[in-house]
Amino acid sequence: MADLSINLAGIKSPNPFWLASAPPTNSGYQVQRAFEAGWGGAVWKTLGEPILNVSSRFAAVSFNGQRVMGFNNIELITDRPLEVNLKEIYETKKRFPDRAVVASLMVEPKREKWHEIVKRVEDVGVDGLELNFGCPHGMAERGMGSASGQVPELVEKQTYWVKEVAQTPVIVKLTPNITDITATAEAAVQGGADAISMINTINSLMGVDLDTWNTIPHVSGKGAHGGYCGPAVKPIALNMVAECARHPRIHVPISGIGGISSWKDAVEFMLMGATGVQVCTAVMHHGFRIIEDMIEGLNHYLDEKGIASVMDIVGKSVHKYSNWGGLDLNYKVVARINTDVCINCNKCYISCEDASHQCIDRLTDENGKEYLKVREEDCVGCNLCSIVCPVDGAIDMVEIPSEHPPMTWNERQAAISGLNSCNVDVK
Amino acid sequence: MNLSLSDLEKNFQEVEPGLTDREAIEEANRCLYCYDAPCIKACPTGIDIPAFIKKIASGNLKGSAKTIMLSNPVGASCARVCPTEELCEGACVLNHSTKPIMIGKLQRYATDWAIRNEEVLFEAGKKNGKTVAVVGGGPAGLSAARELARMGYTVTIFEAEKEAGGLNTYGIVSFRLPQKISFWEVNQVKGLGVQIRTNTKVGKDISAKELLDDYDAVVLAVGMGKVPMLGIEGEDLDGVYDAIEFIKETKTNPLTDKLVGKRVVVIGAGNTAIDGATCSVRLGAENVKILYRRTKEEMTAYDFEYEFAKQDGVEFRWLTAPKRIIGDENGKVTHIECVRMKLGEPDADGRRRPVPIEGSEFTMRVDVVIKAIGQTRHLDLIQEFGLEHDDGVVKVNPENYQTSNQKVFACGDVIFAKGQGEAMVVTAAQQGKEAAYAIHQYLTKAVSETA
Amino acid sequence: MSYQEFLAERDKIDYLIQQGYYIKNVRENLSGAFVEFELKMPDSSEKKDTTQILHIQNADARKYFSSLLIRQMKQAK
Repeated sequence: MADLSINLAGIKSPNPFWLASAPPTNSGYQVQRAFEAGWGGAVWKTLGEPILNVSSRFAAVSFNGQRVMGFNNIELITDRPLEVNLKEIYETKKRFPDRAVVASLMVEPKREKWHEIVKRVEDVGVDGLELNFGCPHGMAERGMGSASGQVPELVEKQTYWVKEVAQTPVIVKLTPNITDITATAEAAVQGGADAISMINTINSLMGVDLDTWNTIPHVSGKGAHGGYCGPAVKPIALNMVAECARHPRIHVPISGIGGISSWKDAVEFMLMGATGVQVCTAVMHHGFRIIEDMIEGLNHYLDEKGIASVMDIVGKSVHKYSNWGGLDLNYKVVARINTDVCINCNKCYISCEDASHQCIDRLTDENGKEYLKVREEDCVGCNLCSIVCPVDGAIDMVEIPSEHPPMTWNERQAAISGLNSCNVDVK
Repeated sequence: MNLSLSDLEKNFQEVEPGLTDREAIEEANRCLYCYDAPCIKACPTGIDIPAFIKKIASGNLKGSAKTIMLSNPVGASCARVCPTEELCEGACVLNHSTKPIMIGKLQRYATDWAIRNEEVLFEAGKKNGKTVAVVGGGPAGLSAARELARMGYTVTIFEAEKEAGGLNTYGIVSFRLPQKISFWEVNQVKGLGVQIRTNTKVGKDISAKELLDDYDAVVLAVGMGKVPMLGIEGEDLDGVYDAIEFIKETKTNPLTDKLVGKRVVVIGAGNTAIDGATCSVRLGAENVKILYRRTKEEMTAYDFEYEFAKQDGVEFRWLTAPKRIIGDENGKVTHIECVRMKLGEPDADGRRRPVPIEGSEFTMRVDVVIKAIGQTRHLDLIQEFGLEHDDGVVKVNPENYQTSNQKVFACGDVIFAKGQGEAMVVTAAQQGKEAAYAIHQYLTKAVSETA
Repeated sequence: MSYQEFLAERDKIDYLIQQGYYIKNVRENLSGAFVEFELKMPDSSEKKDTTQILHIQNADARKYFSSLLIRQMKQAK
């Protein structure tokens, strides 16, 4: 059994799986149920001035029969008074002293407001704070959440105010509704953040009802944009985590969030630089019990790899993430179709023919049986055929050794401009 | 018929293919992962089925196999022989909307993975200094031994046969349950430090008294014995077989061509009868008939076994009872005389009693007669232990499987009463677990009382 | 067929290299690359043009001359 415990900027938990600040962490009852099930930590549903919610709050996209590929909500932060939440936080922490309890906070961008809530929350013994600069709906219209989170100066300033009084580690939760997340991440670091977490939800409209022409979901015939999350957003979140992890001036730990549903997703986020992960949608879909498989699957994975501690995988793939200009232009893969495994659906053929480089031939063998073959010299190695192929092992992408040493775009351009400038110098 | 022995061997390869990786992933993702799922309740061993399926979906196959085997120490065998449509799959909520999840096949997928990867799934508990003798290394005995070993007991299994595994090793045809599956389960138990003394028959090689004297508790899990006598003329002729012995032969010795081209009748209509019949077909018999004195309604074989036999070309003759087996001058079976039956009033066990129709006798040409009309009880052993019993069915306290001797706990077929349909491997496994927990309670209670 | 285009353009490049040319300059625009080759030793007896310009359109051929260029620059060092 590997050591699954983590230490994220001083916040310790027995495993890297935390519940994200969201409906599942609304109350002490829920968080304690989660801890009983085995969750390593929880970020409490955002505390602030209690709000009013609308009815009809969530919607989800099903994709080809699978439910909850993506999920959207227009629920706001806690609707309960601060004292009530603080009492439950205190009780929860007392019952589960080894778990991480982090308070998510959101107040108006005013120094004294931040000071007040930080002090009151830390009094009940939280392990850390998470500043919610990410919520994209409702609160943003009041200048909070992602409205602050989209302005690097506001991120920096508010983080600074919190750090003026905070005794516990401060995590800044970032919004993905921004062109370059490293800008706000860096601002958080500048403001003194001990860690950053990402991503919060993405602005979304889930759909329109074809009969009523109402938005999905709608509140008495009207809708407003919500925050999108769930498995569909994982690639977006993973990129943002990786971009921050490889950024030289963003040197604080990252708590990864966004579509994490299984131990495998968690491993990916950790390899890409997250010290731990936060989960919400998968719990909303299946309940707290999914943690058993997450912990066990992670454990077996680490044991199989001979890794003693989960902290040892953090960031191990970051150096493999680069700019496009750093990729080897001479690296080549081609598709190879295994005729004995192929079931002749011709999906690869039509996708290559219509959408890629027309390098798959439909042929007939001596027995009159049709088969597909890749003209490898024309194959650009795009992967499309193997992506659409429904059968495991029917199409392999095979590496073709290059006759030339690796050459990146950057190296090529440097060579050409070096050549041209040389010539200019000479003449 | 020009079947070669290698053809016969092919006939004895496992019939049902396992799921491919993609089939397993697709099916696992179709599972709703119900909360407090009815499939769990329908499983006699209470396997957390949604959890093991979720683990297949997440790629945690070791965890999946662990979840299965934790609840059912013979879960790999049960994945193949359980009447799933009557148990877990029958309870699947998707029966009401689409079609039930293939739970048995997913269970096989996960356990096959563990077998292929030679995974060791459990560890023995810290030794508590107490010893338990388990008589019989079949599903119930293995299950009890596994749980006792996990709780820290020093366990010795006494097994009369050459190998442990009981019916899973010897009594279920290879093309449904290959022996290696049963052996893996046996090895999982051995891996916990359980000593298995094979070729050791209690009552002959070691006495019941020795066990009672030397061990803190005894688990009696000896199952049942041979097929009883039909009580008709000609039963000792050459060509009359005991179905259990007949199947065991195909699992222990090289296959022979002695049935090629022969006409076979099997007497009885339980799962063992089906196995005897399909075995005969696969050994090259020209014609195989099952004779049953009642009707299809009373037949105890599982539906899928019955369907399987029909697909193998086995013919069924309902309301037909054997009256006499006829042999030639060399003592070889040549004919069987049967009588037609009709159903009369219900019996003590609730099933309608078959009554012969007078004058309806007829004779069939046969070469082989296989008897599969149930199993006898190990009466001698039960008496040697001095246990109270009902006609060879050991009496136990239904709460804790304790027998009339408080040191002896009985589980599995040895306590299976007549007229309850078919004894299931999965039930035996559960009883073994429960007997183990009862022993633990009994022995820890004894300690606290004397302390 | 893009592979045929590549082969044709590669042959032209290889031919010039074999003839003693080296890559002197590369200009790239919307039409592709214009690669200027120059004879290493222009005073040889044969009557060759001292410079030749190839219009390279094929993407793999543009990778190809780039690799040759990098090799050429390494050798020059």
